[in-house]
Amino acid sequence: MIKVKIPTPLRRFTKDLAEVEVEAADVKSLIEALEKKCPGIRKRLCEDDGSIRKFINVYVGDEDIRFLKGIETKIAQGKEISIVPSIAGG
Amino acid sequence: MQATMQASDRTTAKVGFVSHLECLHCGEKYPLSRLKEEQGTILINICYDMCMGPLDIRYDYDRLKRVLSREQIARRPDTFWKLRELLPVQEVKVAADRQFTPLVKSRAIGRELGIELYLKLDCDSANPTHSFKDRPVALAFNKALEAGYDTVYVASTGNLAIASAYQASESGIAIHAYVPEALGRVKKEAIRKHLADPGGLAELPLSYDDCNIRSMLDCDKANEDAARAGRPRSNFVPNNSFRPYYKEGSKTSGFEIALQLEKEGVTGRFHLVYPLGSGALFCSAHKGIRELQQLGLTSLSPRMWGVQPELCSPIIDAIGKDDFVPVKNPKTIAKSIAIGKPGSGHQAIAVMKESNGGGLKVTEKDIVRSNIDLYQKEGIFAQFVGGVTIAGIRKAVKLGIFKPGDVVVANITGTGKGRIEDDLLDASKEFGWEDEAKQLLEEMSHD
Repeated sequence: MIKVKIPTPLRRFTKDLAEVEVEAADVKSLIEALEKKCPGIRKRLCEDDGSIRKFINVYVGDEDIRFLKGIETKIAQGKEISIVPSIAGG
Repeated sequence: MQATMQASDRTTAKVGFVSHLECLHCGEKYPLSRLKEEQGTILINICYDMCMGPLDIRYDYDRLKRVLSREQIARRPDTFWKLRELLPVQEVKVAADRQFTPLVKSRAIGRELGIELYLKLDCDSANPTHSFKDRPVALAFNKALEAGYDTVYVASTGNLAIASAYQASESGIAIHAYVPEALGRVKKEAIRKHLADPGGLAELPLSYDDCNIRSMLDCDKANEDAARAGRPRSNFVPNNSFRPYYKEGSKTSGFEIALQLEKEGVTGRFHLVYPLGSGALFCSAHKGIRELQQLGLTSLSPRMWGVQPELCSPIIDAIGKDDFVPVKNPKTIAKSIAIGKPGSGHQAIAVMKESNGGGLKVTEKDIVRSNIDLYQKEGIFAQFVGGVTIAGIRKAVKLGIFKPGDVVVANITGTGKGRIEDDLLDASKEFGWEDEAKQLLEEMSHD
């Protein structure tokens, strides 16, 4: 199982859970699994073509998937995923 | 796992002339009453129901037109709160006595370049911590006190932590500041100077962007712990959880420049030049002047120019493209703008386009030379970020973008600390060009 940290404003879709656990091998399947468990969340995380919205950062452990393989990034068991809105800094 | 419903805070759905928050990306509107009902607070930063884009504050401009006039504003003292109706606060509890920072006519660089150059000095002692960060921080801490928050989490390249530490101590708010351990000694000392608890500063082996993520996650966790214990949320990140409100503080840069330039007799188009880190100051200053235009309070119309170092230019590089390529571990001598993932970058590009301005990139050496120019020719000891602005202006003149006689305002956004010689040598050691720095100092001593 993989733990996903959910940012506060999106907890409306997770019944107020700060963390959700899903089975997934990569970021793409993680999003699908999240949507099954928390209907409505995919639309907030992804564009219509399935790519991650530009205002969302997804971290596998401490690494931003933009510096890895984006949505194709593999997720090892036990890794924690953080979803973090990108508006910050400066 | 147990659900942790975030409790409401003390914010209310009525704040002065604010009408609603609006997504800068998709345009979704969030009236304050909707935010309060759906999120328990109006202090929300993202378009949570649609595209996750950044939210921006909007006012009832029709009502403001009936309330504000040029004559009335002219009678008010030149303080940070001069156009308070255009700032989203209920009551000013802290930073009430801030004055305008100076706008001075350049003595030498303008003449040399053949332009009418004005220097807006946010590096002046009119800012309590000598950088423009005192502006957004004043707003954020007033909101925090209004909402009953008592702890601030802040990641910083220096200036924001210094401004936050100062304001936290003035406001009785606890602080957790996160800085990259590579940050210069002088800035770390300046942060410590204002800390009530020395443990409030964490030096992390991380880039600024990663410190930022850490501060947000720790703040979230503190609020979750509070919710579990049945306490209201009371932790905030000024430039993240409060970002729409925080940014409004930087509009005052635009308000002041417009009002000060008008006193100098300038009208119509002019060039307004800022260094770009996240892009937030740039966008907010533009918004401030646009609001004055919209309300018939100024005839000035800026062309907005943003400048970044070649070594960290994610915003300029994204002009004309769909998205940014983030810069991992950015290294530039202008550390206060070493931001690889610019939070207001998309908006900054939109502002350049809308205002018929643009972006410029400058080399490290031009930054340093321009900083020395500011010191030697204008008597201003700025942080290296000041050199970014001046180097950008030199480049725009050279490229023929700025024409002879054009009015140009250069924003100098932070004061250097210590001696310029030490500042230069410290930085050059880190960047491996000590010899060139020594040569520059040698040249300086002959002037």
